[in-house]
Amino acid sequence: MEASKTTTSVKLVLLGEAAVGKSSLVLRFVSDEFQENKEPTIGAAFLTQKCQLSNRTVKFEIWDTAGQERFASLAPMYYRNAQAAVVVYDVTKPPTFIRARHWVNELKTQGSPNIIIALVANKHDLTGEDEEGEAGPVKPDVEDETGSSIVGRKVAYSDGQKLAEDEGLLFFEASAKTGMNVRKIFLAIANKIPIENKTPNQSNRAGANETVDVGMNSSQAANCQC
Amino acid sequence: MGWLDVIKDTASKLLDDKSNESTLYLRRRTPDELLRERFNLPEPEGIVAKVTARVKLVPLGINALNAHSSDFEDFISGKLWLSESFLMFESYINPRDLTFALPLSTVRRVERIPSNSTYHVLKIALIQDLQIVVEIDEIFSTNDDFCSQLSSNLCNQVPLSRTLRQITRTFYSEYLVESAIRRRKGQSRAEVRAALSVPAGGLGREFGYPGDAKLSHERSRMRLWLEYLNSHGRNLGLVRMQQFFKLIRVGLPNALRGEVWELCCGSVFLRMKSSKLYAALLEENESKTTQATEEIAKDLHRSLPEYAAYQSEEGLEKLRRVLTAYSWMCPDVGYCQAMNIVAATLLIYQTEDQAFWTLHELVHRILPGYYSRTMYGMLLDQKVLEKLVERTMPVLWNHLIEVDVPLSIISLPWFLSLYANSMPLPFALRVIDILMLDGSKVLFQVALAVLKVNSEALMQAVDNTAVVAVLKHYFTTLGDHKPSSSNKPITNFQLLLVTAFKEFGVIDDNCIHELRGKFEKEVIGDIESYSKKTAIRRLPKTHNLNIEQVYSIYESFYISLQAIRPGLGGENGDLEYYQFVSFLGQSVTWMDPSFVSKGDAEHQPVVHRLFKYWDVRNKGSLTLGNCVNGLDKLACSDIMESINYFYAMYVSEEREDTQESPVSPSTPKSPKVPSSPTAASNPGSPLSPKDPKSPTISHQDPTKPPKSPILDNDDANSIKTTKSVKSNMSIINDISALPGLTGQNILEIADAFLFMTKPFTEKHNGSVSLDSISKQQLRPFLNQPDIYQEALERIYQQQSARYLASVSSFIQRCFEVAGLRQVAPEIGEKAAVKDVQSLIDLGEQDADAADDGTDRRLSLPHFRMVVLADETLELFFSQTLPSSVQIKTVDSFGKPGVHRLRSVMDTILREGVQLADGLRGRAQLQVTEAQDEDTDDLLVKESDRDLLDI
Repeated sequence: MEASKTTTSVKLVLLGEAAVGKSSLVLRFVSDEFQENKEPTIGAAFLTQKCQLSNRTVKFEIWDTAGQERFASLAPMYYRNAQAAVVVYDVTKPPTFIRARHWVNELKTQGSPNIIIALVANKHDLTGEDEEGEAGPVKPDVEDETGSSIVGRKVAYSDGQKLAEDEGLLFFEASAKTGMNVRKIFLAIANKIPIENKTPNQSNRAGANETVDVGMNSSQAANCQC
Repeated sequence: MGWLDVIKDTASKLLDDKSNESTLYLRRRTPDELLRERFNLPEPEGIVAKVTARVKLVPLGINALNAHSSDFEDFISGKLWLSESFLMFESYINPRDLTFALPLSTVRRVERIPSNSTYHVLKIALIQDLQIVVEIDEIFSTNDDFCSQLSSNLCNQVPLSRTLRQITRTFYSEYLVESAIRRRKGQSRAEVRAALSVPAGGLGREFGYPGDAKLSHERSRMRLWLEYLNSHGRNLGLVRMQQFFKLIRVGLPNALRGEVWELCCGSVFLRMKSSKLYAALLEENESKTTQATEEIAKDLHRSLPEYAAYQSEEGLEKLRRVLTAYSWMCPDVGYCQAMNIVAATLLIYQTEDQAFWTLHELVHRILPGYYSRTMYGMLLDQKVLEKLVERTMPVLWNHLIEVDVPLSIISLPWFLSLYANSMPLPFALRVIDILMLDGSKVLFQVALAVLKVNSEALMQAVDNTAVVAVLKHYFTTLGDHKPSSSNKPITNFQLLLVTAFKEFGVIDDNCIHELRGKFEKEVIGDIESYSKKTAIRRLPKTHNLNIEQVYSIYESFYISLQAIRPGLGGENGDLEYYQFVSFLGQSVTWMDPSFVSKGDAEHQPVVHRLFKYWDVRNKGSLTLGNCVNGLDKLACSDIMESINYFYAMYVSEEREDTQESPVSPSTPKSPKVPSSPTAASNPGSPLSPKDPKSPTISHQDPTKPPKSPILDNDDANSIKTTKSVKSNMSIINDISALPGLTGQNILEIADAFLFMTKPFTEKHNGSVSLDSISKQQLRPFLNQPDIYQEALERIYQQQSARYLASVSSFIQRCFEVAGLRQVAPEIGEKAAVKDVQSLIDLGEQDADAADDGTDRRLSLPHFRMVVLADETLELFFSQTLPSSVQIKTVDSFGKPGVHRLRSVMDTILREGVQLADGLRGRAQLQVTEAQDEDTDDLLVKESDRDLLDI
C-alpha cells in the first residue's frame, strides 16, 4: 500500500538563536530521542525523515543550522530553495523571540517565495504548565521548596500567536524534551506542501525505523493553527 | 626616506594599483612576514641578518652516547637567519632534512674556530648538550657582520635566561629525558619519582586520553620520541630533522602531544614572551560579563560532552577560563561556536596557559578569519576548497553540481572544528597533529582526500541524503582495516593520510594563498551586502526617508566610522561624537563642509544637542538605528511634529537631570519617558530585554524615543502593537507635561536657527540658496534677464535680513510670552537686528539673571504660537529643516573609490607597524630575495610511505 503513494521531497531549514533547541527538535522528530547537552551544531547538519500522510509521503530533507549570530551570514546558503522553514525560539528567553522575528523577516524577504514557515516556541516543559491546558501567564523565575528554580514562561502565548497571525505562519508551542507537539509541527508543514511538487516514488528506500508513525489523526494536525 | 614619505608613497601606489584593492591575500608580503610565517615566530621578529651556511649537529656529553643516527655525519647546506631573538636554519634541498628556530636564550656559548678555508666557522653550544657547527659561506664582510650581529643580539637576550629556566620547567620532555638519564644511572622508579616533579599537563592525565593506547602503540611511540629528544635537543632547543616529521605523522604520544603542538605552531614563543598575560586577563576581567561570556556559558556543557573531564566542574571551569580569557584578549573575535570544541580538545593535552596560546595561534594565524564575527576566512576557504575539487576531481565536481549538493555546506564543519566533530576524536587528533605543524593546507589536503577516497560512492549518490550518508559512514569506519595487496593491512585512516599528503601534497601554502586572493573580494563583498541588507531590514521603519536614503545613511555611517571593512568582522562599533560630525556633514545641507569647517561644526551647540538627543541609550555613541531614526525625524515635514521634536530636544535635558529616576535602573535612558499617566500608552514597557527576569518582551532596541508617533512600529516593539496605536494628542500631552523651555534654551534655539539657516544667509562659492518665500518674490523676474541678477541679489539680501529679523523677534516674543522679566524689549532696543549673535549674548546674561529668580518657562503651546506667528520660522519647520536632510549618495563598499580608500587606510596601518620595525634598525626590505624564497618550498615528499609505519 505504501508503495502506491507518491513521495514529495521537501527541503526544510531550521533557524533560531543558539541553544533554543533546534537540533533537539530535529532529533526528537527523526529518532524520537532527547539528549541533554547536545553539542552545538557547527555550520549545519543534514538529516532526513519521512511523514506519511493519508494520500502521499513527504520526505523532509532537513538542514539544521547553527544559531550563533555570526553564523547568520551563512544562512542564505542554507535556506536557498528551501520550501519550508521552522523558526524556533525559547519560550523562557525573550531575546530569542526577537531573533525569531528577525528570521521570519529575513525569510519573507530573502527566502523562496511561498516558503512555508512554522514558528515554534520550544522548551514548553520548562514553564511547568500542563501540556494540554491553557497557556499560562508570563511568570518570573521562582524557587520551589527544594530550592531548585523553576523558570517561568517569559514569552506569552499570545505574542507568538500574534506574530504568526501577522505573518501567516504556523505556530506551535512545543517541547523537544517531552516530545510535545513535535510531530505536529512537521505534519502541519507536510499538509501544507502542495501536491504538484512531487518526485519519483522513493518510498521503497525508506527504512522502517525512519518512518514516522502517523497514527494520530493527521486531519486534526493539519487543522491546528492553519 | 622619512616615514611620512613612505606612507605617502604607499598610499599613492595603492591608489594607482588596481590589483591592490583587496588587502589580505593579494598584496605582497614582506620578507619579515614571510620569515615569521615560515618559522611561526611571534611579531615583531624580523630579519636582522641572513647568510648561506653549512650546518652540522654534534651531540655532546651524554647525548653523544645516544646519537647513533646518520643525522650527525654530514654538513647540511641551507640558509641561516638571525632575528632579534631567534636563530633559524632551513636546509636547501629538502627543508625537512634540517630546520630549527632557536630562541637565542637557548644558546649557551658561541665560539669562533680558526679555519684555513674561506668559511667562517662557529661552534654554537646549546643548553641541552647539543652543539651546532656552522660554516658561513659568504664574503668576508658579510661573515663578520653576521657574527657581530649575533653577538650583540645574544647579549640582549641575557636577561631572559630566568624566563627560560621558568618555562623549561613546564615541559614534559624535560622531565622525560631527565628521568631517563636518572634511570640509566641506576636510580629506581620510585627514586626518580621522588626527585623530579612531573610538570602540569592536560586533563587527559587525570581523566584518561581518548583512544586505545595499546592500539596506537603508545609505548613504542614514546620510546622513539625519547630517542629523538635525547640526541636532537628538546622543547625550545629542539632541532627538526626527517625523523621528527615522521614521528608527528604517525601520531603524537599523549604525554608529549600538548608540548609538541605548541612547539610546532609557535604558540610556545608567545607563552614565553607573555607568561603572565593569561592569569592577568582572568584577574582583570573577573566577574565581567559580555555577549561572549554568555555565549560561552551556553556552550560549556556542550563541548565534547562525552569526555569525562567535561562532565566535571574542574574540566568545565578550565574550558570556561580559556575561552573567556581569549575573548578578553581578542574582543574582535570574542567567541565563535566550534572554538569550544577546539579548546576542549586542546585542554585534554595542554595546561590552560598552553591551550590559551595555542588557541590564539590557531585563531589568529593558522586559520585566519575562520572564527571572526563574519567568519569570512571560513567562507573564503570553502570557496577555495570548491575550486580545488573542481581542479583536481572535475568529474566528481560536475556530479556534485548536477545533483545540487552544496559541498561547502558539508565541508564547513570539518574545517571549523578541525574534523573534531566529524571524525572520531583519536583520528581528528592525528589530523590536528599535522595541522599544528603544516598549517591550514592540511585541512584542504584531508578534505580532498576524503572526497577522493569516497569518490566512487559519491558518484553513485544522487542527493544530499545519499552524499551525507556516504561521508558519515566513512567517518565512522576510519579505524576499519582495508584489504590491501601488501601483506600489511592498513586502516581507512592510514589510506586517507597517504592520499592527503601524497596525492594532494602539491596543494601547498602558496597555492592556497593565491586562491584566497582570487576569491577574497567576492566573498567579502557578499558578506558586506548581506550585512547591509540585514542591518537595514532590522532598522525601525522610517516614515519620511525612503529606502534609498536609508541605504545612503548606511553607507555614510560606515564611512564616518572609518571602520575596518565590515566584511572582515572587526568590531565596527558606533559613532563617536567626532565621527557623528562627519556623518552629519554628509547628511544635512547646513553641515555641508562648504559652510562650516569640521572644527567649527564640532563646537556647535546644536550638533551637541542632536547627538545627545539621538543617543537614546545614553552611551555617548550612536548606532545606525539612532542615526536613521534621528534623520527620519528631522525630515518630517509635518510642521507640528517638527516643532514638537525641536521643543522636546531642548526640554529633554532638563528632564534627564531632574526627573531621571534611580529606582528603575533598567529603564532605557531615554530622555523622554515622562512619568505621566499617558506613558501607559507607550508600547514599550521600560524593562530591559537583556534582563532575564523581565516578564515579557519589551524594547529590543531602544533606538527611538518612545514617544515618537512616527517610528513606533519598530520591529521589537510591534510585539505589542495592539496597544500602540496612539493619537497625536497623547504625544503632545506627553511633551506638554515637560517643564518647558528656559531662557537659556530659547537662546540656544535661536542660535541653532542661525546656524541651520546659514545656507540661506551666507553665500558660498558665489551662489545663493533661496527659500520658497524668496523664490516667490523672484518669480516675476524670471523672464527679465536684464534685471534678473539685480533682483536676485536684492531678494537674497532681503532674505538674509528676514532670517535675522525672525530670529531676533523669536527671542523677544519668547521672552515676553514666558514672562521672563521684561528683558526682551530691552534687548531688542539694545541690539541692532543684524547683530543677533550679540543679542543672544546679551540675552544669556539676562536669562541667567532671570533663571536665578523665578522658574519661568516657555510651554509648548506658547513655543508653537511664537513659531507660527512668523512666516520664516514657520517655513523653517515645514520646509527648510525637512528638506535640509539630503544624504549624499556615496559609493558603496564594493565600489572602487571607497574600497580603495579603505585599503589605503588598512595598509597604512600595517605599514606603520612595519615601519616601527624598520626604525629599530631592521634590515632593509629585500623584495627580490623574498620572491626567491617563495619558491624554496617546492619540496618532494619522499617519505610518505612512512605514514604506514608504526
